[in-house]
Amino acid sequence: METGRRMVLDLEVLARFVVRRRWLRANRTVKAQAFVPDARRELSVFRHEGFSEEQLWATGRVVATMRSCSLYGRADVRADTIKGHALSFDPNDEPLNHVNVIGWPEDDAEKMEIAQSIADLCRFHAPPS
Amino acid sequence: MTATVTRKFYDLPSSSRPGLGPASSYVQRKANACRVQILSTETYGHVLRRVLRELHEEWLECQSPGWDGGNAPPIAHDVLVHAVLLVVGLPLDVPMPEVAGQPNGAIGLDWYRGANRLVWISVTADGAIHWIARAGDSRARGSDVLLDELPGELLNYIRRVMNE
Repeated sequence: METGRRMVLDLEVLARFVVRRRWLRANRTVKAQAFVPDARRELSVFRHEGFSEEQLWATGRVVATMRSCSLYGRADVRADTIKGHALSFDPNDEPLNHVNVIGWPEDDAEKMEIAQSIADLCRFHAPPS
Repeated sequence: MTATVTRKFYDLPSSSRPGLGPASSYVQRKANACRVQILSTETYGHVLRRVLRELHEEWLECQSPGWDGGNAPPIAHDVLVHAVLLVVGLPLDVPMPEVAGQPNGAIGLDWYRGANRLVWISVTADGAIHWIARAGDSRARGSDVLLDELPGELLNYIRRVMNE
């Protein structure tokens, strides 16, 4: 379900902000738990499109602060990696550049398989010091 | 012909599938006492205590709605209880997992040696576990009800991932 709002293109990069210390391994790779959708079967990510690096990090800090979390970094993943699992995007821009990844299967183990496959291909970036 | 089964001390059963009758009950009590004694040693006990502490910390830190930066619900106490029971019931030759809260309200336990060597179990509030496993070319996933001991297939995957 991609509405008339700015469609997410295959080559776009999407960021999942890492706000849990235990979503990171000691070798700075991101665990699949970071990509599990919530109970509404939505995974919250932000598109890079139109953001500078500074604006992207500022968004991550706002997300973390609003929820009283810490920002440990971000996991970048290409949109086509996500689409390859028959998932789709709801680019609701609430807040700006926010996208929900939707269309997750009902089966929990299948969701985990997909989350793990996305984690395998994501790239972690630590926040600027 | 009588088969001889050589058991190592860490093969002691946990509390699963007890037989019936006083003899079975006696053996079970002794086995459990032995297990408790082993787990109270520094060698085995400190790792277990560390994981239990991490589970408790993770549960505490995931009590505010939106703890994932999105819409994650607080992780229910039952999830913690089931995760603790799972970890305490692991056979002694199985390494302890890493733990992490999941945005769906579950707690994840994972054994990870790389993208093709991993086991990840998701523990839920109703006592169900969902899992995926990768050991080289062999991949599996499933859902089970959490009993006293993990399914044999899953334990074998963990052993393969962590020992090979």
